[in-house]
Amino acid sequence: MKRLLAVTLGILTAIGGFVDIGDIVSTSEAGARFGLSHAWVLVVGVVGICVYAEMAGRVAAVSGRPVFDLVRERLGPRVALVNLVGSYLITVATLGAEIGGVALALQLLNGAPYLVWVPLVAVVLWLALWRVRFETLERVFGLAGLALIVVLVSAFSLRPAFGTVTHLTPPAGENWPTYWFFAIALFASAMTPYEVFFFSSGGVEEHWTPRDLNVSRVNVFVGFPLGGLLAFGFLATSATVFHPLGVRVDTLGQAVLPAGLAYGQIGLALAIVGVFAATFGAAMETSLSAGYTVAQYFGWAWGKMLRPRRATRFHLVVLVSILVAVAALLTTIDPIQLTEYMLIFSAIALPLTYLPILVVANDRGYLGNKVNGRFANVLGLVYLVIVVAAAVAAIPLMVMTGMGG
Amino acid sequence: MTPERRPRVSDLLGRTAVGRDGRPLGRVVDLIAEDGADGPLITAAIVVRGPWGRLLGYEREEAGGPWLLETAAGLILRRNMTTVPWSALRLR
Amino acid sequence: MLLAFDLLDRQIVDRDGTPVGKVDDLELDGPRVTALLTGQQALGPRLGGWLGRWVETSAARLDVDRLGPRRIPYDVVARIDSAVHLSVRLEILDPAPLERWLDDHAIGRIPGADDDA
Repeated sequence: MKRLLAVTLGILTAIGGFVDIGDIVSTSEAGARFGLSHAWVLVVGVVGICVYAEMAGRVAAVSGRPVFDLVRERLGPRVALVNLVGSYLITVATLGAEIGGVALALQLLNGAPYLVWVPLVAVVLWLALWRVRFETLERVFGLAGLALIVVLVSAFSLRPAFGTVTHLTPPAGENWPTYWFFAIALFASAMTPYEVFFFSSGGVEEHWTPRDLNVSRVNVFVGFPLGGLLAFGFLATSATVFHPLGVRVDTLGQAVLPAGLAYGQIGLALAIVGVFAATFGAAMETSLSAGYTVAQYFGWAWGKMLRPRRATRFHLVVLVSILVAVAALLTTIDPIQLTEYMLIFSAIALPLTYLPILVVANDRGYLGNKVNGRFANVLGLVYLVIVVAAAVAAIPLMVMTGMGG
Repeated sequence: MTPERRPRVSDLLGRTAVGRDGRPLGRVVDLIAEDGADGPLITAAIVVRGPWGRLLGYEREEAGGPWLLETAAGLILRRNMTTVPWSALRLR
Repeated sequence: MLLAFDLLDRQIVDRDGTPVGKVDDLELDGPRVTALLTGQQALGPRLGGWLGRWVETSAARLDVDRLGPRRIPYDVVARIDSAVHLSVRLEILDPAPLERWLDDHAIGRIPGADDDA
């Protein structure tokens, strides 16, 4: 049990990257429209985030410096500010989507319209961040999110056409630009920058030292592949149930339906509980990340390890971010669509986040003899190229396909 | 009342260094300092020609790979970087 | 030591490891570094442009005594690695104006602000 508890930071971080509300819907939509032909993207995404989260965790454990410290140090105040603005917009838009997502899950459970739930969810979220210990939050929501395993198990009992995993082409009626738009959207959300901000800051919150390098590694290599598998669950169930019928998926209700088909009410209930925990967990991850990045850019005291009075600026940013997210939701904007637009900002934020991590992970001034080996460097460089290529391709594809329309 | 504003490092960084004949040598990107009795003492300025600003730290010895980045930074630095002793530093 | 690389933009922490600020600039007396400057009043001029001016003036508005950027004399710097470690505790330095204002008027007044998480 103790070992399981030690990896909840990795699990929670990965849930925010792979099965937050935007991902649940867009992964399910990809499955419904393209079958299993995007499964490879999840593999590419898992490897990429593992490579960089491992570096970020190692730097945090050995030097005590979280990722946005490195961004500011290596890129200087101006370029780091550009990254800060891009990352912050992605993070807060996602936060809005998650608050909306928790409200949607509550709507599925009792029928009251989701906008009624939004203010309540926001208040509970803020109270949790204000009062509850970091480890407690991480454990409760990391573990509860594992209820989503029911979706993965459903995927196997519904017998998807696994043979089609190797069909890497759009099916009849779909075109290549849309195929690639979905591929890039799934990849960008797998590598979304708030994961490394949250993971490395979480390591500092848990007082990691060089002796915790293995804790960090286990978190990375258990958490993110697990997140990828949960995402695969949504892709595969949707591909099995909706793809043959030619049905489009664009709501949360549809995304959890296959679990009900496989295991009846219990399956459906577990899936909804899992969605609730995953989205609430992702809401915590994004609101804390918003505070972490701004505070670390300016050098302010931050974190839940300090009494709130000793980190007032950090808590102000967290509070304001939640309020901004709620205000955006109350304009009745579609929260899930909002996260898709954030792809534009990923084009700025991803390279400017991962380049400094890669450079510092090679710096003996920070890491002594724990610097990157050749393997980590080769993968790091390859992924830097992929990230830049995806970032450059994202915008024309968004325009060409009308956001995957 | 605002106290008198003392000079800052950022007043030097980014400025153009000129040679004795007034010819521009490049922009000041960093300052080399030695530990003095009461605080570091600037001994020289690192001056770089061309558009390069911060060099991600590749001008230092502790910086290592990735090989590709290190080599690229090395090429740029070798061609464009000079140091100017503090006593000879003239800014424009 | 390289001043821009090894000092500027590094995190300053007190003797217990609590964040104090970033090294936003360095104060000089001729070729000698006399103090670290931290806070948005020091950061603004480095950002430049209208944004930099806004950062600087909005920070100056909170600084009622017009002390200028927070100044940390170089003799309290204990060592420099991935952060700049001070030999003193945060409490003996001038508090950051925004942090103090929020403590007195906003965040510090919310119930539970003084509790250990």
